[in-house]
Amino acid sequence: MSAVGGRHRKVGAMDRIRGVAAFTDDLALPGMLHAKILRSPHAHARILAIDASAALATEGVAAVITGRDLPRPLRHPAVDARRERPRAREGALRRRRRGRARRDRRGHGHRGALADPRRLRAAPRALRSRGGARVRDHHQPLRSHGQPPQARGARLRRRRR
Amino acid sequence: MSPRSVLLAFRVNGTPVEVAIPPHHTLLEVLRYALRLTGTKQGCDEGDCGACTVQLDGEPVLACVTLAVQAEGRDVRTVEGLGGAHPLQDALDRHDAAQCGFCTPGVLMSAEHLLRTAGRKVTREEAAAALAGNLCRCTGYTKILDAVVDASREGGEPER
Repeated sequence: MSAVGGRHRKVGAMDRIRGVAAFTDDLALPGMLHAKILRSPHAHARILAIDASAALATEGVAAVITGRDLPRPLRHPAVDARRERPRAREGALRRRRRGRARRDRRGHGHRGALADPRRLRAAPRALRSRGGARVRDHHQPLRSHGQPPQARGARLRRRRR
Repeated sequence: MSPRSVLLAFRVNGTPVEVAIPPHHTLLEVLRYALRLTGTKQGCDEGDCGACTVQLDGEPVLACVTLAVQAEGRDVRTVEGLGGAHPLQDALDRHDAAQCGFCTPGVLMSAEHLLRTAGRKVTREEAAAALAGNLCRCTGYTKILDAVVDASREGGEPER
């Protein structure tokens, strides 16, 4: 029990301190490719089209993968299990925007909208991006992460009445 | 050598090197991908986090925002150049100051410059000022500062 109460050096720490520990970015494997994720510059906009021609024409680019390239059926936590569709892919949000938001029993209308694009309730607004391109925007103000405690507080207040 | 490449000659950790690189490559890219010195980390890649800190002619610089051609004919020192027996490295180990360890190489290069230029025991405030450009997302600053101040003492603490 001599180890109890003493100061001990962390196993492997000196490798990190000497700079010889291999982090993921430090690995170099034969034939290894690097991927770059392109995310929407808008919080909640429709994907009207993806033009990958310029990227594909760039020297050294092996592939450009979009939602159209995903296999079917697709089993993944990010996928709507009932329909086996990715939650966000080209054209998906456009088909789903007609539905009006429905608040669930807990009043989590916005959270529901985030989890399922079909629950969007806002009429699309026409905006212009920084580059001047006209975009359709479905942005709704997000609720703070403190929403569940607030909701519990609301129920408590109702009980007091 | 590609027609668009330039031949760069400099010293890394005391060793003369020559490498053909595109002229727009940063010092970080040359160190990590041409020379495979991966101890210097690529964090934010835009001069915010300090993980890529190396020493150019003894002065700490951010390798991700330093063009490699700026190192022509100069001395570059990386974490690999500290060896492994530097008092700072021992102090960081003793104080448990490396959690994930990603920021540690940059911290070491900044702290080594502080201790070398001060030549005496430094205060926590001096250490904090010297490491202001090195972000630790494990938020372990207390132990890092303890280690730097400790290492600045003559001889440091005895080995446990």
